[in-house]
Amino acid sequence: MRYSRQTIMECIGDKGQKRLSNAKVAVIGAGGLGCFVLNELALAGVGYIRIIEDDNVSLTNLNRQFIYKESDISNSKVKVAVNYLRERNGLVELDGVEERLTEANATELLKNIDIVVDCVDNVETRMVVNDYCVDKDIPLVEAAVNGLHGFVMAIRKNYPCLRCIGYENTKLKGVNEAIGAAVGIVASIEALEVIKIIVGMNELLYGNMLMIDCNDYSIEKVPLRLSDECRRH
Amino acid sequence: MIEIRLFATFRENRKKIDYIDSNQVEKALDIVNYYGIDPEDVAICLINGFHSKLTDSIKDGDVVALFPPVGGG
Repeated sequence: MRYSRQTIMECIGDKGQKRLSNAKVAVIGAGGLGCFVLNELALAGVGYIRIIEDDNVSLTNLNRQFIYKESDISNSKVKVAVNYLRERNGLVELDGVEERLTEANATELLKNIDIVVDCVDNVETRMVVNDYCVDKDIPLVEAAVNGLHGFVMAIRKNYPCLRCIGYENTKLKGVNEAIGAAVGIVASIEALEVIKIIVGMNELLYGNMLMIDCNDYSIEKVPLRLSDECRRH
Repeated sequence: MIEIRLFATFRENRKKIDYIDSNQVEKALDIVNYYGIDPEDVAICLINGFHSKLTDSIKDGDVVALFPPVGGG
């Protein structure tokens, strides 16, 4: 009964729901994108979710990171997120990891994971995640947001990655702009892409960068190409 | 003609898709300068979907896509 509104969808069905319950997903970052993604994946019935985040809740998070309350300020995001999600779906196995993902610990922290979801806010970690997933051929769903604009990509070994588009040269300036309503749109597409990959749907984002413009409400798929200069391809 | 596609904040006060006579520009950098964009603000430049440098040459029929930094989580 719990998942009946989605199992009646022809593209999911009982078979797809079983795939969701058998899936092991790592969500890196439990900030703006991460809160929405974690909620969507847990409610949809992803069976195992590992949350990797080393930050604590701060006042400036509360305009968009809906999992956290004022009384959670200074507490571990991972602990609060695990408790929040456990109350929403007790069928999901939640594994909170209070560490920052680095090149040195990526293999350990992403062990036995089927799909990685990147919700971090810095280029350095994005590149570590990108390199690990391309090397190991683990599906990676990548998203980023700034103000009213964001993008979502699906990456794996034989498709263009962040290095293929030169993302490692991105220099973020100052404090990132963020409003929950726009972050939620980008994050929901990111979570949906994860669900589509797990269930085995077509029309995935591999080979494309989906650009989401919440200013004029347009969404465009930008086709990407593998780069000869990419260190991972 | 060169097709120019601007994304995210590069669209502010500019067109999303524009066209420039290929005789007017030689490199992607010429396009960036044409639109008054600071080259330092260009995070990603794609020519026909391929990652490219602003100093790379462009030719008639190319599609040039320019993206500012987007990296928040």
